[in-house]
Amino acid sequence: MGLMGKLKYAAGALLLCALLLAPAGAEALTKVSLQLQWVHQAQFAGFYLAQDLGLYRKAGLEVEIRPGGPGIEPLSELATLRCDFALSWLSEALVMRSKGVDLVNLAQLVQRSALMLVVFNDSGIRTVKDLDGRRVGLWQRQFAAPPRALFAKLGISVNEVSQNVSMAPFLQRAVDAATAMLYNEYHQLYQAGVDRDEITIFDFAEQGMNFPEDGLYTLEDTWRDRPEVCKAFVRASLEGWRRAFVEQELALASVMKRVNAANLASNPAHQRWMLKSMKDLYTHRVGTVLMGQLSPYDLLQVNRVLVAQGFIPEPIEAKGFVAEAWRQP
Amino acid sequence: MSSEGLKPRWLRLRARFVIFVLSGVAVVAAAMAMVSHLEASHALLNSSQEQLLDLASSQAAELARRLEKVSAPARNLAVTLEVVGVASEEMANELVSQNLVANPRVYGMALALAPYSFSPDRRVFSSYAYRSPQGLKVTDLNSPAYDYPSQNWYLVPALLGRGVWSEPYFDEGGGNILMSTYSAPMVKKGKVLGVVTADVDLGYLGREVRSLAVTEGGYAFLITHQGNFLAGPRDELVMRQSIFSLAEELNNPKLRQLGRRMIRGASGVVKIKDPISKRDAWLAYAPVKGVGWSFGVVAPEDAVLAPVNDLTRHQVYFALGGLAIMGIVVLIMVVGLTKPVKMLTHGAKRLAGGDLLCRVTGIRPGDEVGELAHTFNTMATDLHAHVEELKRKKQELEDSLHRIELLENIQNTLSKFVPTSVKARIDEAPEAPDLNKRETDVSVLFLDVAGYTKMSEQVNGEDMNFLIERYFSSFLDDIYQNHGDINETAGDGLMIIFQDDDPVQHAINAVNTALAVGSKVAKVNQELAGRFQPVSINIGVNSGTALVGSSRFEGIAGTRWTFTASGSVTNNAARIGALATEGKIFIGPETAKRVGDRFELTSIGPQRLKNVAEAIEVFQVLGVKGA
Repeated sequence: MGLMGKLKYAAGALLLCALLLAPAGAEALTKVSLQLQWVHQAQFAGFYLAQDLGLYRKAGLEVEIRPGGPGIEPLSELATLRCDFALSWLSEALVMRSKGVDLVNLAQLVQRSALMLVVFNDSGIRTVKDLDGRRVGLWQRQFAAPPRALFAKLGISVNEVSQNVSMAPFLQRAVDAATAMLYNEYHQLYQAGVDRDEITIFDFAEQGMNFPEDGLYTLEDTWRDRPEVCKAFVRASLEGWRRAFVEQELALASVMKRVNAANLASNPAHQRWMLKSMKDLYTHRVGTVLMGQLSPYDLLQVNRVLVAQGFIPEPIEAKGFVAEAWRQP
Repeated sequence: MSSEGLKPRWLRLRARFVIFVLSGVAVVAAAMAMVSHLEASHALLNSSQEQLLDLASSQAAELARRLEKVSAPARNLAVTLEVVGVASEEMANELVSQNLVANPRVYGMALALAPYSFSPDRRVFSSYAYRSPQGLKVTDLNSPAYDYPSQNWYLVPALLGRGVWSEPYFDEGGGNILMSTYSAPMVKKGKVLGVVTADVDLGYLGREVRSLAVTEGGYAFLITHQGNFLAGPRDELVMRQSIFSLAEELNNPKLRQLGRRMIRGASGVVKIKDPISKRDAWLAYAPVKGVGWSFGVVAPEDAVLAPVNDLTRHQVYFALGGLAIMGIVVLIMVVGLTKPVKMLTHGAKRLAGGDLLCRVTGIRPGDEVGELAHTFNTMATDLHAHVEELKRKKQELEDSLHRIELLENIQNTLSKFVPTSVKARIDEAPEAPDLNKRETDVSVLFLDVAGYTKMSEQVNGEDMNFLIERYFSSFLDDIYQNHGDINETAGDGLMIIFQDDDPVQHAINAVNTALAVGSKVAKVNQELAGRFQPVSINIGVNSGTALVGSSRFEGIAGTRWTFTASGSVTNNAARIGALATEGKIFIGPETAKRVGDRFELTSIGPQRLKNVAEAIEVFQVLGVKGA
């Protein structure tokens, strides 16, 4: 190596040091927090990767990612100013807004509903209509809105059983059908020894009930007062997701790091499946370029069902609710 | 000898012998060892498979018995309460505490009534007693956040109407332990009144399972009806992995199939590639009856087969030892065989080197090699005799050859002095050459160097000899080419006899010779011009019948034979030659008649010759006709 080479090397090392030290010293980072919907899992891989790859830092942010869990409602955390940003389903956000919480949708992340009902083939249930009079495990609150709307549309009446996080009642045949997410419970069944061809799924998106799920929300005040921070956060997060879809193993490592630290009962195979599913759900319809866009049709559809089910008295308009913080300037 | 194009062997006899014998023995030994190894392995595997399955079954049964001791109190209490009902919270608390105290294997017990079944204005009613680190505690599970009617331990048995073991879970409220709960529903007239539960500490159970000594390097494990590990070879598997997630991670469909058989309550033994140790192993599994779990034991194949492997190893050692001894024996034998062969080879080499007196000694007679040595020695003796004989004959041959050589030398030397005609006669019959005179038709040529006498006075003797040799040797070749026999040399002249079966031919030969000599002389004259006076050669030829053969001259010194043609033809030839001057060629009438159509002749008219009565016509040869 020549002298120039050595100099270049030294310069590179210095630059690296400077980059590492600069955020701590020279430029103060803006501290923000994100409330997740659930415990650490690949459903949030993009946020982890944005943090681990320093994308937030580069955007001038220091982000605290707070895991959720039973009893933690992200939008309530947001409403009570305990976090700056929160992840939530669109339906949940619309209900909250109709209750008077001034929150805005910064970006719609999951474009396609992952919600489904599962039944065992040997139960004799072939169509959704066959669920008439059967025990159906349903998650409560707005998670129940799409199935209830569907049952109402089909004119059937099911024996609703309040479903918790476990698929045990379904596996032990205590219920005939259960609610599942494509990226989570559906695969948990597989990991409980149920083969794919032993069950039938009723996919709500395919039943005309595509409720967009995970979206990023903040309060109107925050969006008005600090739009640049909101935009920086959303864009860095989306960049994290784009990287996660390309470098899945890297993203998986970020996920497992948090899963293991939290001593959660999960395994890499499951998280890998989840990440793969998230890619399909995020890029459905919009690809990777328009990631974040909220389809007006979906908004209309969710409003309709929520009004019909009595969750909200009247539809929420896009104006004032949809803040397209994801758009590139 | 590779004379037949055979490839040479790359090993000597000794090495070959040892290798062949030893490899043969080794193959037999290996085959025997393998057969015994396979049979023993097979037998051992069969018996250990049975043993392994027995172990799995007995452990599963033992586990089922222990869990039965946990579930029985709950079931009994539920049945009792189905009849008597629950009167008060105090009664509920007392019942669960008493049952807990009476059943040391139970970690905690709960009584939970169906919503609004205790009273229409009270949704939840429950009592829970458990063993805390501080001792037995009694509490309730009525918190709205917990909402027990939606918990699986309540929900599932209530929906199914029968007792159910829950999936294991971490109880974070109580002792922070991994537990599983048995729930027995209280059912009256088809209506669920509530459930009674009993918890078991799975941490303790897991430790027991792990401590189960199976085989060296083996382990036991327990999975739930969902395939989740309750206890296993590694702690991090417990509650994180199921046998199915492991199969997915390892991309091992066989493992998944095994898991499905296990959670369906089957039992059996399978050979697997152990995902933990990555070794071949045997896995036996049996259901934990009444709970729906499955118990498995894994034994690495090499541990199972350790005794067989030991046996085989010993066999191999013995075989190797035997082979070594065998090798020594074979070597001794082969050395005994090859040593005489080496001696014979050495002897043969010496023999080939010419030492015919060499004999091979020290080889004991009586066997094939002894015979060979005897044959060799006899052969050497015979060979010696033959060679001696040959030598003698060779000497004789050499002597004869020497004589022949001498004779040839003599012949060569003599032939220079013997005319060709004589040689021809001797060659015809060397034993007894017919040298007697015969009447033969010949041409006789006389050649005379003109002025020889005068010239010999003018030049000195040395130069004279040089000239004679120079001229004479110049036309000697022509004479021989034309089959002439030089008969006489007389200082300045030559007599040459030409013979042929065809009387015309020898006449032509004679004239040709004369012409050739004439032109040769002219050439030599030209070469020597300036140094010596030119020489002219006069020639006379005559043909006819003469007496040709040897003439014997008896003298004082001995007898001398000479070969010549005598008669008038010869005399006339000499006289015709004497007529010729200035290098002319004269021929007699007979010759002229024979060669007239070949040569340009001109008559010089009839001449009178000495001692000849009649004049004869003499012709001069001018040259070849048409030349």
